[in-house]
Amino acid sequence: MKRLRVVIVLAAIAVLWEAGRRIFTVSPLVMPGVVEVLTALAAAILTGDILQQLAFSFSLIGIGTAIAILLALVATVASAASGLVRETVSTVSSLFHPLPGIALLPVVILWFGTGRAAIAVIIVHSVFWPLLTNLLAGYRSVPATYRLVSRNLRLTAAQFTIRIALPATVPYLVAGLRIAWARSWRALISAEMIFGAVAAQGGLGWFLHTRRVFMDTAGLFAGIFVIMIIGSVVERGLFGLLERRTVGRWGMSH
Amino acid sequence: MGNEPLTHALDAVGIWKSYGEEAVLRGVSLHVDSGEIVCLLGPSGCGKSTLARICTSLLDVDRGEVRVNGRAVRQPDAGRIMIFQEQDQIFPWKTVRGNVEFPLKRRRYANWKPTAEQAIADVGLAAAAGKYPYQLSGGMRQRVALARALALRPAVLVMDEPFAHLDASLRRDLQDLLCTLVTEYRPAVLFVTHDINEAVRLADRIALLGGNGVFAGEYRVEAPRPRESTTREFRRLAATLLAQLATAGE
Repeated sequence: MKRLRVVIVLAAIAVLWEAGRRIFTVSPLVMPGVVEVLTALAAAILTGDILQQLAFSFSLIGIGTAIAILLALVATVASAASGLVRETVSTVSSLFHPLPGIALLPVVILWFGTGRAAIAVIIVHSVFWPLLTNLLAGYRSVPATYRLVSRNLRLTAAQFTIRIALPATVPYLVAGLRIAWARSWRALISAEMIFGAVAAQGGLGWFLHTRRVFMDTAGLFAGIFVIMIIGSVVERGLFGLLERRTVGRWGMSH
Repeated sequence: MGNEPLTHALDAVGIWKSYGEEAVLRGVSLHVDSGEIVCLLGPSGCGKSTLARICTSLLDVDRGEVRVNGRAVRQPDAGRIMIFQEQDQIFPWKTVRGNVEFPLKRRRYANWKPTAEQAIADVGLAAAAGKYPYQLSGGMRQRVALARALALRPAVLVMDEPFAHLDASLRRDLQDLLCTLVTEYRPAVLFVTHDINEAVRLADRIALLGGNGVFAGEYRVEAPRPRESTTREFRRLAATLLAQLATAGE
């Protein structure tokens, strides 16, 4: 039913789009036809252009997110162990969390150049702070009874952290990853559009950038369409699955 | 009592404990033998839970000593397990089986798998072994906590109002189950409750803790447990305890 609804909405948009541009006789350079957009999309897929760029974008998000998750876990565990670390992390977080990744761009270019590393830094920044905020909240909400049970069984601090505190924090981790994904996806596309090609390869942002430069409006809309679809598939599909497999199965959704 | 023979499974000797200026426990002593249920009864805030936590070394004493089979203990250990009132003592991300296996695996028990299965069956949850806690009723969750504790074959089981939030019929079921399991596993059970009927139904001995931090009395109950509240002896003892409790709370 849900899929059918998506198809119906997309079809309705396509019909309105076509009707609009025909009624107001809009130039195809401003508003290309649905068929042209789909043709451009098919061409981009067939030549492998868009798939290669997609793979590139995803590899950057993957690396950046993995680094950010690791750093956030370390910062969370360190905050749990020491009050001084907790205070410091909380202060630094309150300063950096609201800072949009894209605002850091000039500094990042200055320090890391315009290569992969720079985009990875932007993604780490976008993922790390929301994830950290959520993990800290999750860690704080670990029931006191778990600590007593852990002490009763004489678990070590490491056993408590890995076996009890971290699983107990998973609902917050999943929620944090959702926010992190949304932020990193936006940051990546923006950064790529500004950087352009990185190390002779570009991502989806670069795809949009080149289509704009060559006035390939149909290609531009094809790119936007792909970005929309991927955003939605990851948000609903991947995170939906992750949630069902963890907090959904455990009845821990909050 | 300090001069009693040191053969009890659990001995709390001359326990003093203060929170700030206020002394909650003033030199109380009690003992529990293997296979025995001792109910710790008293008004709210009289220090029952404090004494329970001291008996599992989850709380330090100011003065006095806790002994297990005559040996002084200061650190918590898996031989003295505490069951809490809170339903969140079992882990929601683990199934019933996972919860019961958890301490056995962490404490590196050799036969953890059959031991856990046996404990799950003993508390009557064999059919629910693959379920997650959110799929269980409150009573079933407390059964899981009981199985997790008993699988470790603890010498001492300390239960802090474990059935307090359950409705009357579920509470009776769990009380009956506890009686069976104590006969089978033979831990020394210190059972904290503020419910006189529960104490009379379960206890071999009832220790009445007064509001002044000392014991107001001790009662031995001879009839086999669990006892029915319809008997004359039950009602007489319950009435005595109620009267005692009323004066002890002052």
